[in-house]
Amino acid sequence: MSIYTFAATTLDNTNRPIQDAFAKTLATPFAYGSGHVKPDLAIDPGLVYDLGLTDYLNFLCASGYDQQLVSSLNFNRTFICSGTHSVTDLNYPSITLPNLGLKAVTITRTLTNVGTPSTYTASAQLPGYNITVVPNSLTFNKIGEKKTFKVTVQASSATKRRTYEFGELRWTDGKHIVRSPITVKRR
Amino acid sequence: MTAPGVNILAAYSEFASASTLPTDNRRGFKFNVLQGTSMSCPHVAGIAGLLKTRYPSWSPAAIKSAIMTTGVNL
Repeated sequence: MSIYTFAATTLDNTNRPIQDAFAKTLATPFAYGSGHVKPDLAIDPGLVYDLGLTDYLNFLCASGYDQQLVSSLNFNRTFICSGTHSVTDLNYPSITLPNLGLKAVTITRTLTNVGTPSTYTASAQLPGYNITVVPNSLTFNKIGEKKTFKVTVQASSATKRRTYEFGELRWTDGKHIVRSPITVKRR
Repeated sequence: MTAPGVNILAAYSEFASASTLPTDNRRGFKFNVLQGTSMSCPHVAGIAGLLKTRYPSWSPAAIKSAIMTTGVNL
């Protein structure tokens, strides 16, 4: 495994990286997801990645469901697939790109402020890849305010192929850390 | 997401044998020490319930996000 800074919740109760109980190897986000729950922090996350019914329906459209099928999941009200949505843009609190070529891929996420007014800065790391966040600073003035940003991931010819690499995206204002795991594989 | 799931004191069927082995005739236990995702899940479900009580307007996705993104201690 490559150099990776472990977050508190990817450590076990002996302060070592979480291991697979049976294989005795280091566990990955495929086993522990975004890490161990921390209820005391979850009660004050600062920012959230929110989703509503329309977002899920657009995700189904992007996954190849036809309009009739999507509409049946919309309480039988006609839902029009605009054809402009991408599966990677579902506003989910993790990022997965399982089939990356050499071309850069850009994904979009929207953060909703649920805390006090604050300015957050982004940092992202993903070993073997170029990863950038634009804009990398977001200021929120009131509760419910939404701000959108883009993450661009690009492999190089030196990036290991057909193997998953794990990284993370963090937004922090000095009081909160809003962390998303990133999982990428170059084909 | 992961949550405590090993050596959890869990609710248990009084009709099940203590060890789940068919040769085991010990019955009538309201609790047993169990492991697995079935023991982890209620920990996270309970946290989701606490968040919904504290913030009734939050969507299921917002609650899930709050639990997922708050991995790091400052």
